Amino acid sequence: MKRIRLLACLAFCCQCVSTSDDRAAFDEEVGHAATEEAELIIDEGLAAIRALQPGDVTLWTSAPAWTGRFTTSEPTRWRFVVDNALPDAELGITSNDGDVPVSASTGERATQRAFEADLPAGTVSLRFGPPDRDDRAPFRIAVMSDIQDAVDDVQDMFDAIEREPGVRFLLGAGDLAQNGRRDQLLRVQRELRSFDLPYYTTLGNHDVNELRAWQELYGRGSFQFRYRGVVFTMIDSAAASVGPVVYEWLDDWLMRARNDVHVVAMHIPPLDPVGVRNGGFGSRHEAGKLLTRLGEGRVDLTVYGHIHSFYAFENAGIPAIISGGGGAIPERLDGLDRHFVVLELGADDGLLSQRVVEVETRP
Amino acid sequence: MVVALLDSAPCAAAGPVPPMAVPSPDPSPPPSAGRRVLGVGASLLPGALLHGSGHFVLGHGRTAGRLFALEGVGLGLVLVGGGTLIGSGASRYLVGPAAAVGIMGFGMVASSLLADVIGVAWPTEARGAPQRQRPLVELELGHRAVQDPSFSYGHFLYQRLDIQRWGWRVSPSMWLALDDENARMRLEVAYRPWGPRSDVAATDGSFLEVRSAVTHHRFAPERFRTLTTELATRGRIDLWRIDQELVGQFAEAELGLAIQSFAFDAPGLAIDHESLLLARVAHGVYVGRARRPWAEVKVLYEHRHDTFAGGVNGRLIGAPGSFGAEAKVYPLPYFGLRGEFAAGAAIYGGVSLITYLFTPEEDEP
Repeated sequence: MKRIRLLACLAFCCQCVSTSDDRAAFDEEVGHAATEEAELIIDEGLAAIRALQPGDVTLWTSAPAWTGRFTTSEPTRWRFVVDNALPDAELGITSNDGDVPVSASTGERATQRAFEADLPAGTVSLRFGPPDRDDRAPFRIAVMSDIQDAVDDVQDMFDAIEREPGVRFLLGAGDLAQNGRRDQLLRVQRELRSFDLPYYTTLGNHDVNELRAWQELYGRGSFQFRYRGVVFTMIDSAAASVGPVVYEWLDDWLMRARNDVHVVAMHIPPLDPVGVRNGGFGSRHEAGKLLTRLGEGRVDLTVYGHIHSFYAFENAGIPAIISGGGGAIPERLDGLDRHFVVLELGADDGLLSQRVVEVETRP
Repeated sequence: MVVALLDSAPCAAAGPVPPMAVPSPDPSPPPSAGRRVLGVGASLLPGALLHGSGHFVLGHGRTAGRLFALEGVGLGLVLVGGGTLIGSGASRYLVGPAAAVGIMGFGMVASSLLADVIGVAWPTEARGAPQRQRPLVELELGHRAVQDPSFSYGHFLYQRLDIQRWGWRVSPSMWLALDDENARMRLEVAYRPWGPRSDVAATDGSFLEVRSAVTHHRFAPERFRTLTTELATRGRIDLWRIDQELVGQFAEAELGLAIQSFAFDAPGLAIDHESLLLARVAHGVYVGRARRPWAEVKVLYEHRHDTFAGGVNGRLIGAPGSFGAEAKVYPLPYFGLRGEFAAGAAIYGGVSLITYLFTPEEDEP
């Protein structure tokens, strides 16, 4: 049955859907919403605004921490619900008169945070994130990509990740859905409700069937965030290429992170470590161009998906991992089942360790 | 004067030119225009699925059967290659051979379809014949326009020199950007044990060639260079060898492997080494019978991802290569034109002026 689904998927791949330029334009729309009563701007689009209704804001955050601005036309009590949040994330609100009292609570699940505050008319500043956001001590994250048609069994993976001590969040390099339909992307978000960690991820070639669906549900495909002194840059390479606009963003992001420990994640690797497979960019010239930029930008680690196995290698001298073991049709003969990778990173030490954790596929 | 000398010298070296292998003429009367139109329609539908349908409608059952068999073999190879890819999840140990088999199968399927359509649309008596002897020296100079959203270059000067002797061919070539600092230099050395050569005239255009090449490509603004070393075998078969109704058409295939190094012009960046599958299939026709104007036109699939076209990206996720077309036209003695077009992640195309220092072949008897 999986083979039939793969053939259907190959046929689907021939459909004409959004291009990387389209998606870059959609990315720019993320994190901004306005009604007659209020306007919300999340800096750098680090959260998708799922709802903005009188008194209620619902967000899906794609980063552990962000800042923003909220403007309301009259004094009102507002409720902010943030999904995909670190369980200890807080929301600070500052008006011209100083800090606004905020009551925080855990929402319906571990990764949903709810905040209520009486906001004055005018613009307030928002500061969202966990208390340890600026701590420089080493921390752990897990990396998992390429769930696709294995979404029915993804809870095994989530359970295994939750059992790993000290993991703060799950980082993804795309292909959460099988055909990129909105209902499939929503299905993954339903599965994430019972996962106790947030999943910060870029998109893959299987996630881009419906225009704007990814951006409306998960946020930007290309973005950058910082956590505990380590910079994470997520790049949309779902078209086996990077759009010209994204290159402009990347130049800026590389410059900003030049002196930091910097992890860059994208779905399709510029170069497939098995070159004859051509699981990398469509143009090797472009692969060279991107790798030069990453190398000159002093990137410390590149993380990829797309290839359904685990590879540890170097590109342009930058350590690289491919972790595509989320359950999609696996690469055979590699001696590896479904898997995720646990990374230990430090703001002062870079990549301290990496470990592959296998999760047995149920028959 | 020089041209005249070179024009005559290889003829002596080559010895008597063997008669061209030509199929015995079909004794049956040519089909009527109406029947030919019907044949073309059949070659498309149901011919798109049942290759050979066009020839079947024209009453060439044997040709139809052979094209259908070619399609079957091609589909079989596609299934074997594609099945291996899917079944193994593109395993690192199987993906190269599996992709090569699949691409060769694709080439056979495409050729059987095109041979049917062209064969019924183009009367046998109007078709061309191949060059049966290669020039001693061929010089090409032209312009190539490249549209690549990832790079700022757009116009290239293209130069190539072919020197051929005793079955060997040495071909230095260069792409030099006119509006950017980008240069691609290539040296190709090939040996052709079978087929048209500068010193031996062949019975038709079929050939087998083993070639090796080194390519250096410098991207100065992007601050990296690639060095590619490759070895491949390329062959062509004139399709009259499969069936006489397919005279004037040919199919090509190439298979090989390259090692590509990426060197980065920034301190501390290590060189990357990558393997690269070389695979290419083409289908073409000859126009004219060695008496000028003479031309050769082909459409092709190029699997390698390091050309200026790269591989198709977008939803086809980068794995396939590029599609293109190439034509050589010789309207005048000693002068010709070569045009090419390719579309992958980028698009390029252009026209070159060719001059050759040996008449490829005397007029057919």
